[in-house]
Amino acid sequence: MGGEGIDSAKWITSVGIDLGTSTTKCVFSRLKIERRNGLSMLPQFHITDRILSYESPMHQTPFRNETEIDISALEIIISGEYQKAELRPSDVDTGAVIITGETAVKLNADSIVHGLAKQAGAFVVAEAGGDLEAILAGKGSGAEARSILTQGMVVNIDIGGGTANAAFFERGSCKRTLNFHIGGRLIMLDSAGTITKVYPAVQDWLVNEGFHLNKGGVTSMDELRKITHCWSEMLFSTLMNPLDSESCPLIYGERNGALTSSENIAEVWISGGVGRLMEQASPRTMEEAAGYGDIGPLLAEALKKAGSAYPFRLQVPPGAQRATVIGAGVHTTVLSGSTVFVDPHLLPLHNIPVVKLKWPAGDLSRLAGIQPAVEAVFAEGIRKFGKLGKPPFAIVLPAVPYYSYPVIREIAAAIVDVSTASMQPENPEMFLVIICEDDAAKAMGNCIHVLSAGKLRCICLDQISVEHGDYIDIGKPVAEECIPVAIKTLVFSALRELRDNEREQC
Amino acid sequence: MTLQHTEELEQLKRSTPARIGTGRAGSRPTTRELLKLRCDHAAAVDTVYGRVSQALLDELGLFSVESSAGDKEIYLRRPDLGRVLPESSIQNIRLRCIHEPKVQVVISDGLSANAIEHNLRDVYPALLDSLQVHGLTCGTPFFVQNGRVGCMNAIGDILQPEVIVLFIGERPGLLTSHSMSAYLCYKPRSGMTDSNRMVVSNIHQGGTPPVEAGAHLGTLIARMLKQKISGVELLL
Repeated sequence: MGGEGIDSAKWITSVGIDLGTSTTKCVFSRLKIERRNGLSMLPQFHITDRILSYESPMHQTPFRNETEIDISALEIIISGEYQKAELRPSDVDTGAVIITGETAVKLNADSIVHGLAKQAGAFVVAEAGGDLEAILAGKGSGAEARSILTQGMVVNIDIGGGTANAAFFERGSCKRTLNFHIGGRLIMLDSAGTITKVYPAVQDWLVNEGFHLNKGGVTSMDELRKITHCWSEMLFSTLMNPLDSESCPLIYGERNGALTSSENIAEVWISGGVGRLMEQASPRTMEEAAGYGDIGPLLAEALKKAGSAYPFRLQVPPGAQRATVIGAGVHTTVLSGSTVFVDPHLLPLHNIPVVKLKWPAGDLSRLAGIQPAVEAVFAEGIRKFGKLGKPPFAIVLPAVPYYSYPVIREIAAAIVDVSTASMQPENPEMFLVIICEDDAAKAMGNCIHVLSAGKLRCICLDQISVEHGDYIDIGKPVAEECIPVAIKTLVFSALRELRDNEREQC
Repeated sequence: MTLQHTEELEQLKRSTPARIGTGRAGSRPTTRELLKLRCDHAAAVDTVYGRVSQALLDELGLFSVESSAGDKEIYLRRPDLGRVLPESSIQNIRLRCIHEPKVQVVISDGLSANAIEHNLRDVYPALLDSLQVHGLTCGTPFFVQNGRVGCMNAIGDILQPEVIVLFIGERPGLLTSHSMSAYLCYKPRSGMTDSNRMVVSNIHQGGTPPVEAGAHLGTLIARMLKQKISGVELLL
C-alpha cells in the first residue's frame, strides 16, 4: 500500500483565452499536482507538470463596430473550441480569460470578461491589463524560465496589434513591466498604401513627429520604415535605460517596479504576432508589406534591424504568437500551502479583493500594537470594499520572523473581536478569508475557530504572495487540503476602479 | 565560485542552512568556520545531557515520571530501558491520569531537552486548538524523563488511549539542537513497531513551524480515528 499516497498525482484542467486587438485564441492544458516532500514533513503539494493539451487556431477578433466587440460571435467561437477540445465548461477547474492590448479599452470589455468567465467554466479568472499581459506572455514564452539560467535579465516583449508589453525577468522573477502603444495594427492600410485607419493612441505622436497620416491618404514604404524605426529605437533604448520611460510619449499604464538607470540585459525575446513576423523575410514591395492590412511586417523588419545594434541577444521564442494565451492558460494558477483551514462548502470564491495588514514596528512577540494593526486593516477593507460581500475582502498577513503561539492567539483574538464588532451585525452570514504569507494558516484558522466558539467562519490559506490591490479566486480543494488559487495581479487600473465602484454600489 | 558569482552564491546560501560556500584557507577550513563547527558540536553534546526545566513543566501543568533508564549514561547505552517504565512510574501514571482517553499527550526529553524547551510552548497549545476544532478530548498530559519513542507502547498498555501523541527531542545535529519530533500511534500497545506509527519531524523555528505542526497533528489524529489505523496503512 502506498501509505501516505505519495504517488497519487492529481490532474486539473486549465483554460486560457486571449482576446486581442486582432486575434482571439484559446488553449487548454493539464496541470499535474503532486505531493513532493517526505512523509515526516507537513504535506506540501506542487504543480509538477504543465501539459498543453489543445491549442485553437487564430480567430479574427469579432467586432460589431469600431468600439464594441461582438459578444454573440465571440461566444460561438469559444463554444466551438470547447467542442473541438471535447471539454465542457464544467470540466475546467481553473484558468484565465484575458482581454489584451487595445481591446481592453473597448466599451463592453467588462461585460465580456464576466460573460465569458461564466460561459467558460465555474472557476475562470477574467482580467485585463498591460502589465498582467506582459508577465503572462513572459511566462508563456519561456523567458521567465530562461532567466533562471542566464546571468543578467531576460526581457520578454510581447508585441501584438495594439501594444508592446515588456516584462523584465531576473532569476525567475519579474522585476518590472513597461507597456507601450507600439503594435503592428495601429496603422492600417491597403496594398496600394492607402491608409484605412490610424488608431488614436498614436495619432498625437505621429503629428508631433511630423508624420501626416490620415485615413484615405497614401503613404510610402519609406515613411512607414521611418515610423517603425522610431518605434523600435524607442522600445530598445527605454529597455536599456528605464529612467527614460518618464519621458517616453508612447508608454502607458502604471510603471511597476523600481526604475534604475541601466540594466544588465542579456537577452530580449519578442513574442506576439509581430514576433512571429520577424521570422519571415522582409517585405520588398508595398503589396508584401501590407499583406495583413497593417504595418506588422514592417515593424518586424525594423525591430530586427534596430535590435542588432544593441549588446543583448535578440530572439523570437518558438510559438511566439501564443505566448500570452499559453501564459494565461498554463501559468495563472498557484497552490496554497497544504496545511490550511477551509470549509469546502464556502468554495469556490471569485474576485476577492485583498487588503494587506501592516505589522506594528518592533518585536511582534511582545504583542504590542497587534490589535490596532488588525483594527486598521479592517477599517481600510471596509472603507474600500464595504461590509457586505461574502467575504467582502481578504486580509493578508505579511511574513513575520517567527509565529509563537501567543502571537497567533493575539492576532486571532483581534480578528475575532474586530470582525464580530464591526461587520457581523450587518452581515451575519459573513465569513473571513485570511492569507498568511508564512506557513501558519491551519494554526491561525483553528485559533479563530476556537476563540469565536465556531461562530466566525473563516478560510485561512498560506504561502502565496499577494499584494495590496490584487484580486484572488480560490478554487475547491483538489486533494484533501490542496487549494488552487489564481491571483489577478497588477490589473488594469481603470478596470480596478470600475470594479471597486461596483462593489461600493452593491 | 569566482567573485562574479557572489550574488548567485549568496542566493544559494540563503536557500539552505547547510554549510556551503564557507571558503577555505589553503586546504583547510577557515578559522571562523572551524570554531563555528566545534561550537555547534559542543552545543549538540550539551543538549543530550540537558534537562527540561521544572518551570516549563509547571507552566503547562505536566507531572513527571522516569523511564527505567535511571540516569543519562545508562539511557545512552541502553535504548531498551528508555522504552519501559519502572513500577513506581506505572503506579503514578495509573493514579493521576484519566483512563481510556480519546487522545493521550506525552512529552519526553529524549536526546534533546533543548528541543522541548524551545518548541513545546508553541506546539502544544496549537495541538489543543486543533483537537478542539475536531471535537476531540484529551487525557492527562505528563512528562517522561529519559524516554525513547517505544515508551508509547508501555503507556498505551497502562492507559489504553485511542491515540497517543509523543513529543520527543531529536538527536541533535550540527545545524540545530532544538529539533523535536511528534510520534503518533493508533491504539498503542506492546508489540507495536515503527510501521504502526506516524511522525512529524524536524519541528523547530528553522524547520517545520511549531504552531503549524501542532495544528496539523490534530488533522492527522482525526484521520487516524476515522480510519482506525496509523502508520504505513493510513490513507492520507
